Amino acid sequence: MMCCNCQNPFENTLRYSSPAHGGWGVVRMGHLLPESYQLFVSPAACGRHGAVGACMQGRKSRVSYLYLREEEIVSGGYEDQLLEAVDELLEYLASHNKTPKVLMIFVSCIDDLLGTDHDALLMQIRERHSDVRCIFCHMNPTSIDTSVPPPVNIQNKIYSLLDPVSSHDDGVNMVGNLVPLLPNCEAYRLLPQMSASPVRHLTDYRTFADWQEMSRSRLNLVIAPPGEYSAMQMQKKHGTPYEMALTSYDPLQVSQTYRGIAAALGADCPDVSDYETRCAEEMEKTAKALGGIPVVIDEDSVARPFDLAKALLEHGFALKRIIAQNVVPTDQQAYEWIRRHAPQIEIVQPQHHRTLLFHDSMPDCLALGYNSGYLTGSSHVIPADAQQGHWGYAGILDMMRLFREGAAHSTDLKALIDAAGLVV
Amino acid sequence: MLKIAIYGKGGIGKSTTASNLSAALSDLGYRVMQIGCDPKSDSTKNLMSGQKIPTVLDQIREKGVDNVRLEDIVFTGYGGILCVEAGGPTPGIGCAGRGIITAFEKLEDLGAYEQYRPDIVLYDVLGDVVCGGFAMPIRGNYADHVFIVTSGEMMALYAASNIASAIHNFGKRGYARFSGIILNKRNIDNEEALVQKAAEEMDGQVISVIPRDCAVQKAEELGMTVLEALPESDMAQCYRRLATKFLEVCGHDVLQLSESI
Repeated sequence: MMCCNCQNPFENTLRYSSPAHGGWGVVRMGHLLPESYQLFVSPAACGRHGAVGACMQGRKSRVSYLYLREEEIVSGGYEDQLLEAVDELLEYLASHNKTPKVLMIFVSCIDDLLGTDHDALLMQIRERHSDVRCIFCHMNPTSIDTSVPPPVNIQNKIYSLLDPVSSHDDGVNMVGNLVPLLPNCEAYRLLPQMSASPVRHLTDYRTFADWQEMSRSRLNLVIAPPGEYSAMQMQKKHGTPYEMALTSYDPLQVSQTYRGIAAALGADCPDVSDYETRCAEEMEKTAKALGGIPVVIDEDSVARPFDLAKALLEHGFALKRIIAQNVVPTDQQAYEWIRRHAPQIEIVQPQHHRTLLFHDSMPDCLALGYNSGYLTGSSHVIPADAQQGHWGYAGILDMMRLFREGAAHSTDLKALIDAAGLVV
Repeated sequence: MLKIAIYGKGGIGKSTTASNLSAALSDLGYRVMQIGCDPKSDSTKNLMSGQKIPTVLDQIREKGVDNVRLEDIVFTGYGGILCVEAGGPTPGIGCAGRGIITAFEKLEDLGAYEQYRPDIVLYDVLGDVVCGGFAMPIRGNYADHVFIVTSGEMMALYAASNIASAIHNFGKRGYARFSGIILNKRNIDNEEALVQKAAEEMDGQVISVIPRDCAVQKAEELGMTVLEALPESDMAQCYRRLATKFLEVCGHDVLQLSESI
């Protein structure tokens, strides 16, 4: 679980969950879809956590819960109860002029055991509520170690609601990222120079009808790994090709990504050398400004922590520790680079049962991410999750800004965690 | 692709009937896939020279859910019949119904039907429709027709009646049709009349009567179907007649299905 030189730092052991562990959760991710409403169908204890999270995040007006009881599960009354709940909910929402365009029914692992026929239920719901699109989604933590874990599945469910179009325009979609790119991102200037405009993202739309515009894009750019599966499905369904364009903090890699996008678009890549140089200089300047302060980063703050770690090491940062439960495939190459070129870097699994031994072990470090902050006991925590819109050269520059500000100000970690509304 | 589910009380001879039916259909030139949906995982044994094949759930347990390939779970037996066993949990633990769901999902994820393109898929399903998992094969996306194997014994008829009720209950959802009963005789008194009466009560028809014959046991001792071990026997002829009738009931005569291959 902690390595410098151990063969494999990743063990599957009894799990520990720190108070800083968590992310967006499927409720928050699902709510990115405009005019959608969620119905969770689960035992009370399974729904409680999400319900409390929804309240804390101010989302309770867009989510309801149907709590299952033993008698419905064992008697086969579950499906009837679900249909009745949908009727009651949609009638209630209609009476308050809040009929959603989409109803997302989230079922739990209980449903997997019951073998519910979702297609048949959807048909019945469609007959009764033809004005509402309805889909089944999963709140199923047992799928976390599969190729389609909840964060991947929910994005795929969202994009499955895009209707195919007869022709595409010059637009490109950004998929996989939950937060839109920073407004000052150079992508908004460079992509149109490659005849790729407009740049579309899920959060650009206020209505479900307007959101359908994303079907028209001619290319999907996968910004974060959980979006790859959706992009593959959209390629099958809509014929829209996709290009892996994952966020990287390595200026050379960002340039390479732009060249890949240009090739996918059949366009020339604009000259990006000035951006690349500026980023490299800014990283070195920031590393100097930190003056050797040890840096710890965690996997909840960026999608590919080993990519960030490699970039930091190459530009002079005093990186000490990476907190990661495992390595995602798209980060494998950077991980191997770290093992070869920087074997002294500690790799700590945040959920390993012995992780508590390292609690408060590095109070003077600069910690990127809530888990880093909690597990090191640092008073300089950079609040970061879901990539905070980082992409391209602008993402690198903004990360450097966060590093400098983080080092300059002390933080109240509990207040940061409360504000983040993390959901396990 | 014609998709058929065969149900019936445990021990009534579903797997024997299914295997011999698969073999007879294969002899007629069809590409057949037989999927055993019973934790005992012996549905296809007599199509595989008496050998049990690794099940889908065994392979998922051993290799991990994302590392199983089609060649790990689909095996070619007598006459090129594609054999799959869903498998089940450790006896006494786990959920067999969930096991069937998982196995079906895995076959779909891996694109088994697209890759092998069978003309006929036979689901050989354990006993009764006791839960959602065991109802999976009845569903529209899986089977088009359901046949029930029964004898004239009370418990076998009772199970058959339950299965028929489940199919009728699901009728509004566009699931598979109840297409008939196969009487696998146990030589009890008045057996054909009893089963005929039960079929009428279930709103079904007896499509075939399979006599009790020691040829079945002899073939099984050799780890084969009757079609393979004793192709000239009366029983082999009986299963051939069943195959023809089966195609007719499903609305496909030999010529029609051949044209669609």
